[in-house]
Amino acid sequence: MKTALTRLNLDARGGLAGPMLAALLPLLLLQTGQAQGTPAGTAISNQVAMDFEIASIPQQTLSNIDVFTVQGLIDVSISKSAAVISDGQSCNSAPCDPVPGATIRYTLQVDVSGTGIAENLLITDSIPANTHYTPSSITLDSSTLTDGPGDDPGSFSGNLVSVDLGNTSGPANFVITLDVTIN
Amino acid sequence: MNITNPKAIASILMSVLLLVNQAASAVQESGPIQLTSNAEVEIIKTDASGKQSIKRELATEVVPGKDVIYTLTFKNVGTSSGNDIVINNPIPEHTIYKSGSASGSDTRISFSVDGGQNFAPPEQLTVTGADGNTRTAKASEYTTIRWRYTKPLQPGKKSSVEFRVVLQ
Repeated sequence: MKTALTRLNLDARGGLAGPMLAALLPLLLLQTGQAQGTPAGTAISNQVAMDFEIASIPQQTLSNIDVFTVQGLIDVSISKSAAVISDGQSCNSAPCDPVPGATIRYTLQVDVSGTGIAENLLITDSIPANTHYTPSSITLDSSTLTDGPGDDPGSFSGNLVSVDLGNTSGPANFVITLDVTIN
Repeated sequence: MNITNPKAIASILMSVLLLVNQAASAVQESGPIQLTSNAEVEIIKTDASGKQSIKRELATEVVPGKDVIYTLTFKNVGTSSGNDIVINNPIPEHTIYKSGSASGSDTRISFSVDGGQNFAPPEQLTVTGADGNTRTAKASEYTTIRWRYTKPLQPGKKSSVEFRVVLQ
């Protein structure tokens, strides 16, 4: 189910706002390119020469050398896939038929590439129409998360599944899954 | 000492020149005209009412693709006026000059595409393309910027010039 291709470019200080991702996630696939440009940590200096005359005597001054460093570029990409893992009856492994009562497992692969920190990285996904969330089905890297807020990165509230990855240093990968049942 | 002797006169002249040179280098050490280079980035600030404004901050860490603004300030901290002030700034490594960004009051600005050997205004700068034909140089091909300050800089006075680059 690939419906769109979007590039997200984050600077390491800029962070990634939750609502932005929430808005983009329905696109089902987010993909980014590799971090490019001058390598992080490179020192960029500027040395200037100034020639002048004082009382007809040529002289030269060199500037102070000012230096800044190249900051890392963080790319966050998310790809989302879906599989019908149960039809609620005889079929118990994908692909099953998407009939009422069937369970769809959504898998979100989060890839943080480049160097630097993606600040307050919050992944949210809304439950599709005509389905309902399967309680306690959020997993993060194969560990089950609770639906309640605060105790771990995962939560479910209203129609929204959230996984709060916080400040995430690149490079890193996360796999999030959640299940819904077809009404 | 017989100062009608040409050799003696030459010797005295040499001594005087030597003294002047020593004085000059002493002055240079104390820096009659100081030059400082500041690198800044633009930050968009939003105030409580949501109004946005662009502020400059000293560059410490910069993400590739961003603009860096260099400001070169030269100040006469000596007691005599400075003349024929020429500033040569090689475009910093890993950066590309932004077309039209070099400025400075009372200056004539020229550029080099050969590492500072020859300078000319943009419309007179040419390079030889891959096809062997000569064409006008692009701003991204400039290697050095030169400002020629057209006025004397009096003691206690300062002036500045600036330019922008994009970090690759």
